[in-house]
This record gives sequence, C-alpha cells and structure tokens, in this order.
Amino acid sequence: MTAQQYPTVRLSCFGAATPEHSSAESIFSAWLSGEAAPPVPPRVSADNLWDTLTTQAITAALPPPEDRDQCGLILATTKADMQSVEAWLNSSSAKHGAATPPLLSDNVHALARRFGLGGPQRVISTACSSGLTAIIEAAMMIESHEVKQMVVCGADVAGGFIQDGFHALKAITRTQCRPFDRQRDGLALGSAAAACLLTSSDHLQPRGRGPSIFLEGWGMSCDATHLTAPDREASGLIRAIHQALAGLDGGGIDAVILHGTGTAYNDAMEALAMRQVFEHRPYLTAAKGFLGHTLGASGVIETALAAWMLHRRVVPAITGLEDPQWPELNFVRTSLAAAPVKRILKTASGFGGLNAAIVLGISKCESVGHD
Amino acid sequence: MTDTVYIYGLAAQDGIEPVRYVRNMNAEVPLPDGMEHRYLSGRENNAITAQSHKLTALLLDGISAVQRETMGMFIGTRYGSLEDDRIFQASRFADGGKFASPAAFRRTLPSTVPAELTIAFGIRGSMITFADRSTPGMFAIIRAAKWIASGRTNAAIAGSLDFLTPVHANSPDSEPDSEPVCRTLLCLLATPDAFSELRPWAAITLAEISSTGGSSRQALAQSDAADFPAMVELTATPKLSTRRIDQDDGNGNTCRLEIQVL
Repeated sequence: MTAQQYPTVRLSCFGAATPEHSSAESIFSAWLSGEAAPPVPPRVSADNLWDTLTTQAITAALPPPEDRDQCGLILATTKADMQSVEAWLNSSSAKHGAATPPLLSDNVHALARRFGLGGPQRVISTACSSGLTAIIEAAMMIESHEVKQMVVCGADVAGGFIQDGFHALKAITRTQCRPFDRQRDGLALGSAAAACLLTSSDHLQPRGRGPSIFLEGWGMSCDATHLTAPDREASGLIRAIHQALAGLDGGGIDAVILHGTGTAYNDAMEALAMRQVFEHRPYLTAAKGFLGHTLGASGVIETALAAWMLHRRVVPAITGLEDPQWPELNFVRTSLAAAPVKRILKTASGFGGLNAAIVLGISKCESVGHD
Repeated sequence: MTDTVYIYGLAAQDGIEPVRYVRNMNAEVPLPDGMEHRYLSGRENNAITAQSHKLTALLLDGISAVQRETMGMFIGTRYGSLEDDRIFQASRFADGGKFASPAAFRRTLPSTVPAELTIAFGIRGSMITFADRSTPGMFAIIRAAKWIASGRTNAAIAGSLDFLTPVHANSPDSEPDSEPVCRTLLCLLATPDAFSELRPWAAITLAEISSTGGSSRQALAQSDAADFPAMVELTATPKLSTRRIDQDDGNGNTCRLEIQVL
C-alpha cells in the first residue's frame, strides 16, 4: 500500500472497567504502580459481570444526550456475553437444535438500546485484534461522513470456557505473565471492557471528560500462515505497521504499546518487527503483564492507556519484565516520568494471523485543550 | 479514491443445493466434487471450510498470488462459531473435564473460517469479520465496497459464512425439520483497474447502510439471514439490468445494494 494522508479522527471520553477498577484513569495508575495480573481471573460467579463492565465503560464514553440518537456503536469482542452462550450450550435447546441461539450481534443491539445510541450498530470479531480493528472501522465511517460520532466498546469476560481453552492450548503462564522476558512462559487472562468516543477532528470535544487524542494512521494485514501461531518472520505485522506510519506528517514514533502477550512466539515476532521497522529505538512497553490478556477488549483498553500516557507524558514499565530477551531494544523496565512522548504506536495480533496497528498522537490536542 | 467498484464474480451455495456462480456471464456450474452428498455434521466441522474454499477458489481462478497479497477479506456471519463452541463445550465436560480439546478451542472464533481462507489462498490485506443477525452478507459486501471506494484496498473477497447443525441430526430421534445450515455467499469486488485480465460482471451503483436513529425503538422480529436468497437471486439478473436490494435488520439499520449487470 502506498503512502496516504490520513485525516485525523479524535478519540476521547475513555472509559474502562475491570473487576478491580472502574475507570481508565485508575487502571492507568495501577499499571504505574506495577501490579501484576494473576494467571487467570477468578471464575466468574456474578451473573452480571458482562453488564457491569460494559455499563461502566460505555457510560464514560457517551456523547452528550442530544447527540446519542445519531451516534453509532461498535462492539469489539471475541465471545461477548459468553455466560449466556454457555447457558444455551448446556440447555436442551442446544442439544436438540431448537430455539434461536444467542447471537453475538444481539449484544450490540442490547447495549445500544440501553444507552440510547441510535446510530449504526455492529459487532466486529477478529480475535485479539478486534479492538483496534473496531477503532479503524469507526474511523473509516467518520472519514467517509457516514456518521459523525461512534462509540467503540471492546469487551470480553474470561470465564470458564475461555480459561479452559487457553489451558488446553497450554498458553497460560504457570507463574506470572512476563512479556519479552527470557523466562516468559505464557499469558495471563483478564476480564475487561473499555470504550471511547470517536469524532471527526474538528468536532468539539466534550469538556471535563479526560484526555483527547488523535488517530493519525492505521494499518491491517493477514499473515496468511497459520491459524494460531504468528508468522515467524513478522511480515504481516511489519506491513500493518508500515501502513500505519505511511503519510505521517513528520516526527517519529516515541513509544510503542506492543501486544506483548508473554507467549514465546508472539513476543519473538514483535521483537523482530521492532528491530526491522525502527532505525531509532522508541520506548517499548506492554500492558498485559499488569492487565492480563483481555482479548477483544485489549485493543481499546490499551488505547485508553495510551491516551493517559500521552496526557501525563509518562511511560509505564512492562510488568513482569526483569531479563529482556532482546536487550538491544528499548524495553521500559522502570516507569519513565516526564517522557517526551507525543506519538504512540499501538499494535495487536490475533489468532488467524490478523494484525492491526494504529498511530495515536497528541500534537493537535495542545491547541484545543482539555482538563 | 474511486467512484466505481465492480463485482468480478459472485458465488453462493446453500447446503446441498447447487452452486450458484457468475463471473463475466451468467452461469450455473455443477459442484466440482461430491459435496452434494456429504453429510454436513458439526462433528465434521470442516463442512463450511470445504464449501467456502470451493467458492473462493472459483472466484480467485486467474488471480495471481501477487494480486492476492493486497486483497482484503470482509465476512459477515449470523451464527459465528456457535457450532465449534458447542463442540469445544462438549469436550470440556467429557471424562470429568480432563480433555478440553485444543483443536476445537482454536476454532471458537467467528474469524476462524475467514482466516483459514486467507491462509489457503494467500490473502494478506485487511480482514474484518462482522456478526450480524439478518444481513451478514450484504453488510460485509457494502463495507468492502466502502473500503475499496476509499482507496484503502483495491480488491476484496466479501460475503457471508454460516454453519450450524442440530447436534442430534444423526440420531434416531432426529426431527425431519432440523436442517443443518451450511451457507456461503462470496463476491470478488475490486476497482476497475485491479485485474487487467478479467472483465467485471457488474458495477455497484449504490452501497449504503443507513440507520434510522430512534434509540428507544424495540427490536423487530428478525429474519434468518434474509439477505442470502436475495443476493443469490442476483445471479439470475440479465445483462444490462439494474437490481436493487433493500434489507432491514430489525434494529433500524438498512442495507441497500444496487448493481448494474454489465
């Protein structure tokens, strides 16, 4: 793909929730404190965790009431409200092929009705790149003037179905998620929802709702190599990153929030991509050692964390990283305060070899201001 | 940016019905293998894989590996991975829960079968899987057309894939009306200059998904992938004819697609 000019799209009103935290800011503060994620979250006992997390996240991202009827909603998820699906799977209806099963798309319509969002509604499910893909799709709709505002919500609850699956794949750490560490032995799972409001860059932002940043570029690609393993040569991720960087109006990437699952092959692929893409050495950080892998939510929640990084000019350390396998790269092992960070690259990769990358910047923010 | 997006080919199959396929001219082709007699079982969870591979191969015949490198894939689905969810769920509780199947788990995503297609055919551009109850195929085709029109990609495979079978379909108490769903609808879309060696079959003259707003509305009764038969009917459209399809999803989103067969 050739270099392109990307009209900027604004992201603001970040909301996020985990079982332990109820705002993006509190999650960011906890990341700075160096909390580590347990290998798996407690098995969900509350019936309403999906509702609780999505409600907290979306409530923070809502536009003013007068705009909601025309505002759309994209839900990024891998399994959505899996408790409802499991209940159906375990029921006689599923065993006898009767009754309409719960569908992924039901979730977005239910959320739109609950929050009074009357614009376009859709579910995007592209494995663990769902969150970034949803942001890209919403930006596409705003760029092409199909819609003026979109709420993007990424959400997944890592219940028994998902935990058993990753255990079966032997992908879960026995100790602690350690992205990019020589001793890394797998991922931790987390449950979360995160949401943000996307508008055109000239749209007035709601004041008093936290940081506001700009989407300055994006790219997507398929490895087309393997259903679960990443491309050992990182060619797909590198193509997605090059697309995201094409057309940037000067200035480089100051920091990267990597996918950083803590699994052997994913981290190796990303390290290779960083070595090949960047001649300089941007700060490299990752959030999954702290948050766990929140699957379809991860792209959106880590974008919310990027907003707070740009807002506070702080780069949090990679939780769990003690002995980097690639010492030539600039992995952040101690949180950096007053860091000169104005532009962040966020990447994600998922099963099926799906890659996505977005560039987030703050430069124009300084002229419009936020609280 | 381009003002014109062409459909170079359209292929569809519903269960064991004959393949409907157009590319450059209206034609109905016989199945190239024994698929029509194949038992579509959830236990053989590659039934949708086999069907979608066959149709993709028809559409990509003559498209070089280099051209596929930048091609996108936009797929809608109603049921997503429910069939594979069911298989993995059964494995979780087999023999006291000791044998949750990793092979089954890795298929429990709506993007699994589209990802298999990218691997099989070397498609390396953007890929999005949408979940939609009533208009999954039209939805994906319209979004692909928008992406091509924007210049973000120059060609794409777009459409819908759905697979769901009653688990008991092979048991003595199976009900006659418990038909499995194994349904694929795919288009090859591209810009006018994407494939110099191929002639387009139709031009897309309207592609939009509109929302009527009105957030307090109640969900209407929603039909089962109502767009599929309407899209399949397009294969019978005579040359130099215009056809338009409007489908409402019951939640205030309306897909509109209009084509001019060339």
